[in-house]
Amino acid sequence: MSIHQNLKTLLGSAGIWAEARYHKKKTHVLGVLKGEVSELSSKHYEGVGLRVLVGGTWGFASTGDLSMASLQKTFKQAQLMAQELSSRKKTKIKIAPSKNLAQGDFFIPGYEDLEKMSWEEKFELVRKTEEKLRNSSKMVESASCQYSESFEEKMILTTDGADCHMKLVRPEFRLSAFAVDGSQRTRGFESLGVTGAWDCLFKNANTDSLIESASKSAVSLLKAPTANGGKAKVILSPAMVGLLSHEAIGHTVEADFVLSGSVAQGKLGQDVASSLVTMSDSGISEFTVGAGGTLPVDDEGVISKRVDIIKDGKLANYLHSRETAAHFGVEPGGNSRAWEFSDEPLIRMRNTFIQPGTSKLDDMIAGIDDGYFIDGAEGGQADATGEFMFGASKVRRIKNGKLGEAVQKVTVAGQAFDVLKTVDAVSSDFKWDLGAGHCGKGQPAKVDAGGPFLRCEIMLGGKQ
Amino acid sequence: MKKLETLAGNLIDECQKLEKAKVEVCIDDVEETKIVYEQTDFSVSSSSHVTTFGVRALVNERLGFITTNNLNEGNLSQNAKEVQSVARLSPQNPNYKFAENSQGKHELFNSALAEMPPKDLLAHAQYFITECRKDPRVLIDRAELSLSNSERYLVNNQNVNQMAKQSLVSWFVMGMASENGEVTSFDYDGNNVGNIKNMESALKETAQLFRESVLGSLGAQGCTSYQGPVLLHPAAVADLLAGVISFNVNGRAQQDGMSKWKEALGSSVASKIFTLMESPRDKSRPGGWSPFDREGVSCVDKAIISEGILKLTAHNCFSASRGGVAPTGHASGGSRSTPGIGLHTLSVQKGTASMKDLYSALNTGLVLKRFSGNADPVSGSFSGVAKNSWWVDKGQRKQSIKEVMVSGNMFDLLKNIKLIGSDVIRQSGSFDSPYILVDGVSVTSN
Repeated sequence: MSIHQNLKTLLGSAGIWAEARYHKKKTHVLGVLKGEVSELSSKHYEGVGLRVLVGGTWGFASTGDLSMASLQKTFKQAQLMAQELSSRKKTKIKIAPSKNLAQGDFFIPGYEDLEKMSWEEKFELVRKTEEKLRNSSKMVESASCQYSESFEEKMILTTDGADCHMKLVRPEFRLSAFAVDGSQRTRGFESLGVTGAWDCLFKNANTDSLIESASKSAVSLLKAPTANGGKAKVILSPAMVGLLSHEAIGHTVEADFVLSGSVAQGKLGQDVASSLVTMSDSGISEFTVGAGGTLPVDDEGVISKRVDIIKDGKLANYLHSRETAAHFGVEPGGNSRAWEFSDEPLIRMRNTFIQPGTSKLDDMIAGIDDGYFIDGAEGGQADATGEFMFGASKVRRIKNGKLGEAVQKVTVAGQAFDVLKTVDAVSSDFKWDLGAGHCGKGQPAKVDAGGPFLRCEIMLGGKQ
Repeated sequence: MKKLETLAGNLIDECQKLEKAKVEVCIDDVEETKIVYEQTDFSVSSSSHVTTFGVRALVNERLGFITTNNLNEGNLSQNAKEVQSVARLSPQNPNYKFAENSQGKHELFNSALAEMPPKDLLAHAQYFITECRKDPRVLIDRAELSLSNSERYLVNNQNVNQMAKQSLVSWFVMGMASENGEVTSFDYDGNNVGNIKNMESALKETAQLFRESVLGSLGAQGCTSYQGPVLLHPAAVADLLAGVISFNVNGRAQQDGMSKWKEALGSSVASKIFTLMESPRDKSRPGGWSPFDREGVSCVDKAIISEGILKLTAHNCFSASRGGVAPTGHASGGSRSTPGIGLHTLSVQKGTASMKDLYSALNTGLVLKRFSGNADPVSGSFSGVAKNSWWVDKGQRKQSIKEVMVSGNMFDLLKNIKLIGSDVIRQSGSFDSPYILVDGVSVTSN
């Protein structure tokens, strides 16, 4: 009997609310570091996660053994776990009904194409890219390049009607240049990441432009002066706008975090940003194809939709699981995600962005006497208070309305809503630009983020 | 486990049938029960049992790796073929090596802990939550308590056969404090035990440290911007100093020109008062217990930096072969990844300064508890936000701080260590360090 039939049989006789998720993940990694292979690997992780609601309490169990006997045993274990916990559970969980439970096939193009493409062809590009990058400048002492692709197949069934089959692939491409000058060492980094095929991965950048950018970034940082610390007027690139949307706002509006007491609690309907700002999170790749966090159906079987978090400056919605949607009396939007079969679903973002405005980038730069142009998004974190920080590796001064010299990497920080209230211009451009970035919240999740260029005030870490 | 050992042996035989190869199998068999608390209530109780296999094949100096959680007698041939076909893609490299001649069976197993029923684990979780929330101003975003029973098996056809069996209960809590509409920065803490006897007192201690940290963050204000000394809490020592050291002692990072310490072995890299030890066999820190590394090489306790002098270059078999030295037992990772290079559980040797001495030496400035930001181990630059941190004025602890950024260079901080505290605090169950006073940090307040 097929795995789908086994799961259907299992839930058919459950007599309780239950969810079954089969998840197969096959990942290939091809990497080269300074002319030698750093990794050539094929990773296969497959199994079933079973979640039940017994006495208003979640129980979850998982197994990599797909036999019916193992599935039945695991299902009983999930029920046992829920029963044990229910005696201590103060508030009984309810599940929000959804009109958007997925049924049928949800296949995103690219899976078969990438599967057919040979490893040799992919590996050759990695090898040549690393070699070119390593030889791109006398200052570049070492380089690395890695290509990875993650093929994902899921079947999600619930006792209240979800029954879907989903397939997608997420290729990523990363390269780093390490430059040296005496005792100074710096790193330039570029990455791409999409949900889609090979052509989609390289739709906005070829390997030569990535090599040039990573090499220039590493070499220019060797001599770059340090930025001045303190509050500054800045232009944020689409990558930084995406990171701001994800880190600074997105995490504080995840409904589980809201219920824990995040700064967004009780602010629905209030002015939290400039009226120029409309921010959304979507499982669909809006504006252009290939956004890395694209997800047609979430891991509770809910079809993805766009959720407007801030509309014209007012806080409009939180991001929900079916549990928190029931608590707030709203429709779930497809934000419940699990990294692997052995993980239970959590509220996560997908593709988070600020919608384009009407300003021209050149005019926005011309409007700054003394400030910075900030690009090259690196890691970031947010806090319950809305206080955030993230790194930027490509930073240039703006003096008298013109772009000037490159400066060292900086960390930008602030209180999310305060920063968004200072936005006074939003460009008409749009780009998904989180590259190979992932989000961490106990489990990883592939996400993307982006937007237009945005002008605001932000705090920079730097010299005193 | 006998069944898994046999399966590993059969897979090696299967690979040999295809083409003469060196084959290594790493198996992780983990059973876990977990209790999760979110917001103000228990959220989910879960159970899992996963066995993963990492297989490396070295065929004619070409190396391939596969990992799977679906290996059985019926698909051995298919997996053997796959790992060898991956290997054939690899260019030849004479430095691909596996460990040789290393055997052992190791246990850090407590049956009372290992056999704890979910009901008892839940009672411990309840105790932990109650302790964390002893003060109602403490809010929990997420707390977890998990029991894992694991076995790791590392075998190859170069006479390596290592096995480790362990029972462990680990926990963490993440949350903040709230009072009169003010919400503090979040903080987190955690620990683990390998014996049921120590569990309740360790849970209580974690809860107390967490509670004190988030409650101490209430009433946060800005501070004066300056460049100068900062007192690092052990958590910040882990974030800033341990990270840059781990990266730069990595033998492969040195060989590939990424590490600043390429030729620094035996020379001064830190202040003379700084000594860092590594203790993979320390059973009092079960979360970091590691009798053998990812390639089966036995691990031993050793100095990383002694009185400021760099004493170690860390190698796995590949970097050791390239450098013409023996592997040092630092192959890192698990069955789902190829061996990297990493350090084990670390301890900064304590100094002589009391908290009063440290505050007096700082005089007026920042005590950095948690660093939230970017720390580049290649250049040494760091820049980020100070969290759960506080201000000291004329040697006295004053207000907690918010929206304060710190930046500087981690290599410089190691050289600019001025004073080391006499009390060691354990971080996340594995990293031991006292407070450390450093100079040369840029502090920027909004």
